[in-house]
Amino acid sequence: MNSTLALLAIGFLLIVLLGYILRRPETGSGSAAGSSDLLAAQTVPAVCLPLEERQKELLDRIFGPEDWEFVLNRAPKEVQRLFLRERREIAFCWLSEIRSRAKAAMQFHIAHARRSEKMQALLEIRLLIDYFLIQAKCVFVAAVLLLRGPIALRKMFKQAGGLSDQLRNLLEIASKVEPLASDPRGS
Amino acid sequence: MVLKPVAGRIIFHKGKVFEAFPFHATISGETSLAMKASELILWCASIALESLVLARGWMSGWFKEYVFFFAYVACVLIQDIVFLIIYLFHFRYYSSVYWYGEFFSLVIGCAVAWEIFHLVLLRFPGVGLMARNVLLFALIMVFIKALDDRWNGGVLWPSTAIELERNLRAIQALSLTVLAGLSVYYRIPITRNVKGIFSGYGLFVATGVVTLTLRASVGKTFQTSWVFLQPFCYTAVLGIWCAALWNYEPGGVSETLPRIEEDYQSLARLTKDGLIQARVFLGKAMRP
Repeated sequence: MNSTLALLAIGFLLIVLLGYILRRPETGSGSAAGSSDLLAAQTVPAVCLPLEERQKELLDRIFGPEDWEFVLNRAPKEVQRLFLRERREIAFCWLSEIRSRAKAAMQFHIAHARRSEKMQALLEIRLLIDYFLIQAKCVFVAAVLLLRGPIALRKMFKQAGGLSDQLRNLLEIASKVEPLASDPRGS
Repeated sequence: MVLKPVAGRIIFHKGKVFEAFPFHATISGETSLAMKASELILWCASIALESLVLARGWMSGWFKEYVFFFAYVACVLIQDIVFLIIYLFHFRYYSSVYWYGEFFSLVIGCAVAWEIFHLVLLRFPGVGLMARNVLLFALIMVFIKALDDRWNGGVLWPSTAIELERNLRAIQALSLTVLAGLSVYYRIPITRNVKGIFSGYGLFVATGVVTLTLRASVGKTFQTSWVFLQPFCYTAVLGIWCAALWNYEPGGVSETLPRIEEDYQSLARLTKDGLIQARVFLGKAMRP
């Protein structure tokens, strides 16, 4: 049964991949070989993100509670709603920028590495896993942004961090407690 | 005596029992004379399309570039004609002739798979190396699985010709899946001709593996669909080959890339740095 499923999976996977290849634009002598790939090869990779200090400032502004607290104390409900909506949009823009930077870094790598004779399978797999982890994290952040908004993101992680600290302390205390002496009546 | 020339199954003919598995065009008529019209049409259409592919290959000159593929189609054409004649006029020899032809086609099919690998990865030695590694790993896993089955009381070598064919096709399918996956991931540019050969042959192998597996596991209930599905898929594959190989398209121009590609380690480090930076920013969004 297992081998039947495996064979069917191989067959269907091959059909899907071939369907994708068939739909891909062609490259021949007339067109530059993979012009989009060459474009990706020229793309500056993600290391050229804005300076770290500026990024930190930007992140504190988008996800930090200061602005929100100010609006919460001084502005009417309508303005508060507008503020939250705009902050969410800005947060999504920032998130899509991070995603596209990670994607550009991978495209840059793929466009160059494919011709290298020194390509290492393990390193390639590790980079791919790293890339998918970033994408998964982005999806998670997007879900939190959608459900709770940008201000709640840090609050949630603060709470989660607090909980994990509490748990760690509890475990530390538990490990320090000496095991109970055996019941004297039992002996 | 009722004749049941259903593919890969027992055939009763003039009181004798045969086993046959018609190759590219599966015929399932009650007798050779009572062959269904649609099946005969599919068989003849296959012969016509194979002739057309070969004629276009000769006229446009691509037969010199894709030698194994051209030889493969030529062999299949000859086989189909011979099989049809034997089927119609000397049916008792059909099963023995069929199996010889079938395994001969499988061997040339392996050469076609090798040619596809060569054509797709010719200018990408890094991906070629990756494909070899992944394929080697996959084949070792298959071998370990077979040994494990044997250890648990199974049989190491297939007991029937159908199983043997299915397993050989599955190995071809596995290698083509690795190639397709890597060419999608690394965005390998493929010319129209090569894309046609790859897609057509890959589709033929994939549908073969799926239908043979379903036929083996589901049994006779799948038979009625199978006898139509397999020749239909093969005719569709011939259609793909006709469209893609109508004219010859030489290989793409070579890419001119910056010097950085020469140093794979620097490139990998640069990519890793980029990914780490993205991850750090994501982390900072969550924790100040």
